[in-house]
Amino acid sequence: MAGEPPLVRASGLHVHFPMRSQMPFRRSVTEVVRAVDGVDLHVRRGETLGLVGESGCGKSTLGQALVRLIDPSAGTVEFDGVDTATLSASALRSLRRRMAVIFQDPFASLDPRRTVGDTIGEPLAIHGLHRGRRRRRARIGELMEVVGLDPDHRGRYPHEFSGGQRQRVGIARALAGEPEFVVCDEPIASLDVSVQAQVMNLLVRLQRDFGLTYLFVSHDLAAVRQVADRVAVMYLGRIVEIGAAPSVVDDPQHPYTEALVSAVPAPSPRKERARDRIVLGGDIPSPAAPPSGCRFRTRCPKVFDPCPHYDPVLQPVGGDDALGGDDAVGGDTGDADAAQGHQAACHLHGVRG
Amino acid sequence: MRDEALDALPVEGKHRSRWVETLLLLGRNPMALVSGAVLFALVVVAVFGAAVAPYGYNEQFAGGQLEAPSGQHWFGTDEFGRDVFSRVLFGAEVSLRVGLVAVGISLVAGVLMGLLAGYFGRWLDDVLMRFSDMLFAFPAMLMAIAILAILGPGENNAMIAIGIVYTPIFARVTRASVLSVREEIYIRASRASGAGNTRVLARHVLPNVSAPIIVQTTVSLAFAILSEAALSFVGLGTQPPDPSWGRMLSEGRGFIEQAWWMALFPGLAIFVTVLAFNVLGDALRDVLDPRQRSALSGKGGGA
Amino acid sequence: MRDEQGGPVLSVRDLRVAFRTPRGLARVVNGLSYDVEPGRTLAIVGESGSGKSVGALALLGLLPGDVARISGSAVFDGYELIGRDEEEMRAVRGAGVGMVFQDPATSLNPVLTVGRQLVEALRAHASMPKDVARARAEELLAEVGIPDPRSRLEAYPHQLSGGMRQRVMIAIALAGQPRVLIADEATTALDVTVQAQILDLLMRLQKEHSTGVIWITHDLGVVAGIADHVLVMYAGRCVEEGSVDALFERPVHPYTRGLLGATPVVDDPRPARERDLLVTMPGLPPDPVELPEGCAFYPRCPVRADVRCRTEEPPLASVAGDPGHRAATFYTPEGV
Ligand SMILES: Nc1ncnc2c1ncn2[C@@H]1O[C@H](COP(=O)(O)OP(=O)(O)OP(=O)(O)O)[C@@H](O)[C@H]1O
Ligand SMILES: Nc1ncnc2c1ncn2[C@@H]1O[C@H](COP(=O)(O)OP(=O)(O)OP(=O)(O)O)[C@@H](O)[C@H]1O
Ligand code: SF4
Ligand SMILES: [Mg+2]
Ligand SMILES: [Mg+2]
Repeated sequence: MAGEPPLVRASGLHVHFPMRSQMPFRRSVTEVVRAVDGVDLHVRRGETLGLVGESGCGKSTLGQALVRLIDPSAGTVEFDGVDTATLSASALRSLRRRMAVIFQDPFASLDPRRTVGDTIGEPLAIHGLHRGRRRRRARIGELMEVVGLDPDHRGRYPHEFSGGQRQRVGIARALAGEPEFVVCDEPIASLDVSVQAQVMNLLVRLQRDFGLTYLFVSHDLAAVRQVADRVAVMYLGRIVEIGAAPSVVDDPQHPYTEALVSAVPAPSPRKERARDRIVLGGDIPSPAAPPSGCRFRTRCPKVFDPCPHYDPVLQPVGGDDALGGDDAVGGDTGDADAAQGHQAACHLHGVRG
Repeated sequence: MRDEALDALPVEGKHRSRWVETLLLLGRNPMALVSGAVLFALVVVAVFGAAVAPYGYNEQFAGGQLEAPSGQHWFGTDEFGRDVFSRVLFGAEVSLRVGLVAVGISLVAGVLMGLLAGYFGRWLDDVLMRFSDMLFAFPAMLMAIAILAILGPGENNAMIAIGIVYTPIFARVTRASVLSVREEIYIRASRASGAGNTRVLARHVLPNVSAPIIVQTTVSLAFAILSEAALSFVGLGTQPPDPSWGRMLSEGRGFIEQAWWMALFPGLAIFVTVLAFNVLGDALRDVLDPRQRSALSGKGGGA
Repeated sequence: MRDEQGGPVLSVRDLRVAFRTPRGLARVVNGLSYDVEPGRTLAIVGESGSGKSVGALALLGLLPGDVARISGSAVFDGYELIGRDEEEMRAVRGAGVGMVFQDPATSLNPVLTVGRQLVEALRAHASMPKDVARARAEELLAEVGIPDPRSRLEAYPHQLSGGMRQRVMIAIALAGQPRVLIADEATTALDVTVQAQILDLLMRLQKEHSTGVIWITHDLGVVAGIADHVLVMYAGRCVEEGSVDALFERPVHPYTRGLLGATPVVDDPRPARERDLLVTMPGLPPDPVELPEGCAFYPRCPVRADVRCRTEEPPLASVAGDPGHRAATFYTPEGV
């Protein structure tokens, strides 16, 4: 797995939303929301990269920028070695067959006026796949079966389904073009616990069966821990920690990740009583005016001298010298490798920035 | 073997029957049924009115001016001694045509403007909407008169003028809905599948903004018929002696004390037509919405 | 679990709620009984649509009277709540029983300042001059941990973050110094870090005022952290209840066991690549208009222990050797 070039790579990615005043003809920019503010990231073929962080930290924006649903303000996104910015509009549209998005809200992401069969078949129609009415119909039925829906329900409208079923429709649509890379944007957030488990199992099964690559966006660290190989933690438009899932979740190196992990409630009263929750003070600062230096410093329990002055960059954690580059060829297991590639952006690991 | 099983199902049956289903559902609503019947009768009258009318529209009965309704003249006669009933029948054609054509013009132009302005936003929005604001700023009548001053009077030009005057309303209604629909996640989802602007506009945006447009259409039909009346009244629309309901209503106003029937019957015709359009529009809006639709047809929604 | 301070402050017995709908009678709450003790937290858990909110709203007379049929009894401090008229209920709401709703964005009035809404809530429960109420409002905001409370009184809800709005909601709920606080998914819409702040706050306030809390949620993690007693609802019935330890350590009902199995745990020691699939229960809860005969969980039940499951409704019976722990199932798990 290592050694192969990543399927998706983002370098120096920025996505800024200029907020304009509503005066006609004079749409001056009042402030700039820096939703994604300098992200370097890669997703390897066949892996699941979990992306966690608080509401509004830029997870969805990053995910959508990776599939070019949102244009980056700066930086590049490479898909399978191709810089997507160099593609023409039509080349980009045909590239869309190879990447897909499962959206957060199963109620809002299906067109209420189209039958679920039409919705699932849309990528087929757009990319001219499975031409011919009967072939297309058969393919839609097949997709519905794959995600556990009754193909006879293709003529129904979204409102005739439950939340979990609608999310399955969204998954079937995402799979229709046989994509390689799927951004799962909080696919389970709005579902009930038992249905969450059903959908998560489905996603894992599909990955195994079709060799998919996932970016699994969620604010639920426990769910991410369940499905992800690696985890990236985001705060105010930046990745503040990234590494193998067990390594990041069980041994967090960034104070923010520590607080996040400690705040996840465990379904066990014994653990809950024993546990020391780190309660962060204050609110997330506005992404239009991030704090100077380290963005987390306004809430960080470990803030110290350099924090307001230097912006920390991602750097390897653990022993300084033990770590070579992050692309060293080798097996994927073992303690040394678990720590390898584990990076955090915090001055506690050496003031750099 | 898989295919056999699928063949047993009606191919795309759901699709083909959608229109039939729409009609069947409409038929279940008694109000819609009645208004549909009224409109059908109106169309028949508009087409065959000349054949059914007991007298010519300009046939004057000497000495029979301002006669009250009677067995001979069901709706009475006007100040020239013409049979009001016959004129109402003849007028149906003019009024319906003016209403439908004028609203058709503003519907197409306004919806197109609203779609483009709302969907693409930015400078296109600024330009299109400021243009429509400009049209909107003038009182409707004044605007229509100004346009007719350029185009010259007459029924066809009146239709164009009314069409232009009502365009901004459609543009605004459409744009407002497009602005909210545009941000819907299902639009983004469709783009994520690779859909281009044309597909998104035609398949997703337009169907989802149709409800307020349908309502606006039925309302505007009423106003268009009345506007034609006003234009005719100042001599810019339908030219005498051609009858239109609007003309007859405004002419009748001058005689309201001596001959109430002159205004009442064309007024009633307008009222019934407008009401029928409104009721049918509302019913249509409900039936076209899949969510309302399953409530109407008694299907239970998902849990 | 009987309380040392002299009995429950709220006692609910055989509460039933049904709605008249075009499709028939929707039986949403079907015989719910529980006690709320002062200073303790009762958690009510269950999936969406299981009747948690409806059961709570019924106590406060907040259900639409024209379609809802309510029966049973709910005695608050010796006072029967069921069957009261609007005016009598208004006295109880806030002052006796306070409520915090799920969505902080929609349960505050967007066009009134936070201060105005707090002052109104205060003056609804006790007549006091405006300036006294204002001073008290400021105190309340400080109490729920809002920095710079004086200037926040002038803020409109949209100017506050989700967590702050939820704090304001709590402040409003506490304005009448209620003896029972019902929190309906009060932290569901919030991030875990903000949720941790709010849970901390509520637990502190509960201790200070000895408030009885009904915590409605579907998040078993939160329940494990804050509840004393837990009641699991399915299709409007209590299928299992007991102390928080009994319920999490020794669950009996297949539904409770299924819920626990479906909840991912963050400190699972197994490496992620093994990806043990979560245990799931297939299907969905039943439609309240067409409740199945017998056990409502039967269609989804992985064990279906007994021939009676399909025809007989299992009664809520004590679990042998576990006082206060009761379950409504014909199934006896191994080792219990
Ligand atoms: N189209 C947009 N225009 C302006 N601001 C935007 C836009 N989309 C997102 N933002 C802002 O960018 C920031 C990041 O948003 P984003 O949706 O990526 O967050 P998120 O991490 O996905 O949050 P959540 O967990 O709530 O989904 C937020 O402050 C949001 O308000
Ligand atoms: N006014 C009403 N008329 C008819 N049915 C209703 C009414 N209010 C609620 N219901 C039904 O009662 C059932 C239970 O709803 P309730 O809101 O109590 O669920 P809940 O357990 O709180 O779920 P959630 O976790 O989604 O909040 C649902 O099936 C709902 O559709
Ligand atoms: S750099 Fe400083 S403020 Fe930022 S996380 Fe590390 S210790 Fe905290
Ligand atoms: Mg998001
Ligand atoms: Mg609820």
